[in-house]
Amino acid sequence: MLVAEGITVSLSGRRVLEGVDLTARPGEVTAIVGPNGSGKTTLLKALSGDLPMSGAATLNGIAIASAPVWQMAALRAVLAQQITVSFPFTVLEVVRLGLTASAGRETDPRQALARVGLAGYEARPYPHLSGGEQARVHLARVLVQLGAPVGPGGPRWLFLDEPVAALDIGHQLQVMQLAHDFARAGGGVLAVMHDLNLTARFARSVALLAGGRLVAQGGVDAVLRDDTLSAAYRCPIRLNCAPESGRWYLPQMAGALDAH
Amino acid sequence: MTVTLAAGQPEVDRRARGARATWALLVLLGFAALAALGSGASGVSLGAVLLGIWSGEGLDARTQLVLFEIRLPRLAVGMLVGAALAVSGALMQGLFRNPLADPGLVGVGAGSGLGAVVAIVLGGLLPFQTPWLVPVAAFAGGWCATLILYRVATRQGRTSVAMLLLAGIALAALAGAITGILIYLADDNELRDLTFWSMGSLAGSNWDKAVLGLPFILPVLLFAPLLGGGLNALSLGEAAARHIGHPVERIKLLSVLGVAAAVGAATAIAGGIGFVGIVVPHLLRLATGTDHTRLLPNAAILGAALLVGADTLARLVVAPAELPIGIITAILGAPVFLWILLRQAPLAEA
Repeated sequence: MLVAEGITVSLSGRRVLEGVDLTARPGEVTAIVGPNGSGKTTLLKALSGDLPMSGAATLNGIAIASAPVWQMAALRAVLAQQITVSFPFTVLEVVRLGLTASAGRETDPRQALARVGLAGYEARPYPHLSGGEQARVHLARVLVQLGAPVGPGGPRWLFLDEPVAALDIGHQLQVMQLAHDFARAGGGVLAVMHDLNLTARFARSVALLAGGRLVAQGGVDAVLRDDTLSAAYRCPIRLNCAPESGRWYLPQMAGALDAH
Repeated sequence: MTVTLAAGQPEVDRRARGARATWALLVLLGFAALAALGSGASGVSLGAVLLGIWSGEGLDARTQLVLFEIRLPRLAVGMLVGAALAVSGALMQGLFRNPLADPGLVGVGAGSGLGAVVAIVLGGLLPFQTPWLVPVAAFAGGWCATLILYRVATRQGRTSVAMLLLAGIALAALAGAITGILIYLADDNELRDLTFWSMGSLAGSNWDKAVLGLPFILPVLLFAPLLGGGLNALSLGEAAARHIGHPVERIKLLSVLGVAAAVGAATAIAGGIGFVGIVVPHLLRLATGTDHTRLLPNAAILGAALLVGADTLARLVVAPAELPIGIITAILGAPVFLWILLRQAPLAEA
């Protein structure tokens, strides 16, 4: 269980997050959504231990701010939005970096590469890959770091910051399915998302941020509603039903200009 | 030795090649050492030495003196200094996440240079004279500079690598200015000493210098590979390395202190020797990949072999006189460095 209460973060004297409460349960994907600059990434960084914060945050009962890095590394893996690798490692070498502090070494790096659709890429130089392929290499790396979704210390957690940002639609679905499967097997997933359709499809719980504050948290039906989304994104958004996947969202382009 | 990595090669091969490279480098070091022991101004050849031992007649007094009091200590100092510079270069490149980083970046070069200049120019004012003044001052200068830099770059328990780099440039400029003032004040003899010191030389090597360097250099050589896993992870950035569970601040501190100790001691006993710290890790990366756990020990061996080889050249080229070794490493190192840069340019732009 991830429990955050009153998370407040200031960067260069400006409050970027103010009193955010967030709960995420293992066994389901929890999405953080909201417009640009609403504090989504900041919240994920604070919960990853990257930023000084006030408030209380615990993961499986362990205080995030004071836990040693090796303890947190055994419990959660973080996939950041942009990662540059400064030396020309091979793909397999990059994935292996996840092994060093791994809790159980349950996941074979080659299998992890196959799971993200990069079987056969092992010996390729990482710098020669496309942006989308590089993003999936890092997903394989965090899967290797965590190993099984549940370990001796309870459920393990994937923190994903816009995991599908660089991916084509097929790989978006593949990556979200991986996250979904990880959660279904007992692990926890906390993902910053831009795509509301993918969020509706794969997340069970959604936290909506706007202006550094939590606007709403709850089930998909309770949070992803026309009125809450339109107010948070300051743009008319209407929920439509798709025959197969259940629902999708489209901003109403005509009214978008009026709202500003 | 510089094997190009073809894109399709199995990765396991690359790791095995790292291990094989260690053995190949040890053989190379063995040859370099034999060549160093078998050549010199005295005319004592390796063949004569081996023959003396083989035939059971033993070595005559002069050969013994040349071998045990001149060539062996010089070999020991050369190996220590070469290994120290190469390992420090690899540590700095890992820490700064930049293949062009060099041990001078953490101020140890500027600091020890200033220490040496102060000792050479102002040492005459002291009531006593000792040959240890310059090495000790160089070592102390290097440490002071590094500690000042580390202090400046550390805020709230976190050390900014960018700050380390920028403050290092400022500190080097300041040390250069003070050095300039002292050079202005120096007399002709002191100027000559200064020039030779700054070009580096193993000419004054003796067992005392080897013993002086050993306690500072050997622990760094032995323990640096333990930082390899952390440095590998650091190439993903500090945050990602922390997420994987590496104690990033401790890795930074140990790397900087290790470099200050090893380069400070190397500079103290052999003067300023350039290019070994950049060229050696670079060559190894091309041949066996970036994995620092393998790179760091291999760098120690190749650095030792390279410096011993350069010293043998320095002694032979203008025998019976000898060139400062810094000139040899720069003449050999700079073109190699340029060649590497040109070869890598397409990859860097990709």
